[in-house]
Amino acid sequence: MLFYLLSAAEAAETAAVTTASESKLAAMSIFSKGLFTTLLGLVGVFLVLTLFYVAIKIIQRPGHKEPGEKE
Amino acid sequence: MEEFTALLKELFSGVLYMGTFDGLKTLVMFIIAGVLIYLAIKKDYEPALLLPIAFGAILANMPPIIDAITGDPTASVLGSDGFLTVLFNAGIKNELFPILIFIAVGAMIDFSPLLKDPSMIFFGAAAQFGIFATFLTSMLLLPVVFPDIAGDESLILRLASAIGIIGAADGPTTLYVANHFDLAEYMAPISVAAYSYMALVPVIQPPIIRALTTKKERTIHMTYTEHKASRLTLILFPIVVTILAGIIVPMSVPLVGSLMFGNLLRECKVLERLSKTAQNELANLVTILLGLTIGSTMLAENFLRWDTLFILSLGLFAFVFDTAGGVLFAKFLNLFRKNKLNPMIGAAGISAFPMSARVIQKMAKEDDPYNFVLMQATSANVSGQLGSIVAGGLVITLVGLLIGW
Repeated sequence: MLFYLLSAAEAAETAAVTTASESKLAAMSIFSKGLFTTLLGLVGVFLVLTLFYVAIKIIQRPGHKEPGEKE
Repeated sequence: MEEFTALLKELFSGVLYMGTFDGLKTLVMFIIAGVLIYLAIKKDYEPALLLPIAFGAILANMPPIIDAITGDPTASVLGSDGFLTVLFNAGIKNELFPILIFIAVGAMIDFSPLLKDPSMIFFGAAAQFGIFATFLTSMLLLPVVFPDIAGDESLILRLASAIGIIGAADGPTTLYVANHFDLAEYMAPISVAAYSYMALVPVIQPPIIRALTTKKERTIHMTYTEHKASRLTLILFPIVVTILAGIIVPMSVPLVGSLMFGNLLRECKVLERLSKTAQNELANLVTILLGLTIGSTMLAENFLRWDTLFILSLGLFAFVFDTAGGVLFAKFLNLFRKNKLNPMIGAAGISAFPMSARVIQKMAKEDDPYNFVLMQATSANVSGQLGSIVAGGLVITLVGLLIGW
């Protein structure tokens, strides 16, 4: 019971924080919203593709080479 | 007598319609469709797309059939039961066609050049610069050019997102974003711009690349290491990328997931028939349906407007800046590299696969017949495919967060 109460309180707190941050975002000027999207978007694309790069490097570890394949 | 006149009016409603102002607009749309058909057949610019789009536009702009008694326009190809409306609802409104196209594209793409030289993946990110530059520019220009939408912040941000994505030269992603943001009214110019610029890669990219590079830079030779990507790597790649994309940019999953599913069909080597079906039958079938349906959005009342010209111009701006972003990023990297990169390969970071890589190789050969950069350009090109999808997912997520969409 206590667990459920704690979970519910935690969920309510998270929801409140989320709503507060969302309303902060919504209150920004349209130009700030544009800059926010542009900067986070560009950084985001680089970050995600960097992650793909790391993933490729990991799946290409020597252990994953075909038997008999040269380095 | 009156009934007879009404019957005649109904019979010849199409002829009468052509004499009205709306009829004149229809005529203009027929001419536009004619130009697209000319480009498709005579100039061979993406005929598989331009021809169905043009024919869809002709069908959609046919004069309505006027009911003699009620005076209402009745069933045409775009009526509530019209086949183009059915196709629109079944394939575009619910984002199905772009997804199916991505399965086909995934089955066609060979990611091994990228897996051999993974550092090329960053060009797929750099060449998305134009998307965001255009997003910001359109966002600033839209309220000025169209004061009637100046107060509608949500529409400005949604429209700017879809216009920006045109720069990726990735038709399905552009459709996906436009549809997600409920921009049905603007679908025609957005999709026409996305698909026509994709077809015009050989015309648009070379002058930009030449303007930003010297001949010395264009003749840089790049070494290519000939080692095979293992089968396990080729199989793991689509699975890992899908999971990563799903965790980091969940909004991109439908597109990344379908692209990677198609690729897995290709690389697993045990589903040869399904892979071939995705590459041929599925691709051809969905291309026909997608093209016709996009064409059907080109209604005169939606297309013959100033915002169409605005969207087409900014789409071109996005495309130019995407190309420039890739080239300038390569030049920037060259400042720190001992083994210089041929900056032209940066331009292949857009998503028009494989056309952009071919254009780069052709340009490299023009300046030096012994220069071979096709593999690096192909790596950048397939990365661009990933980059544009991720950019689309991020734009949907970020703008959605800002406007509560």
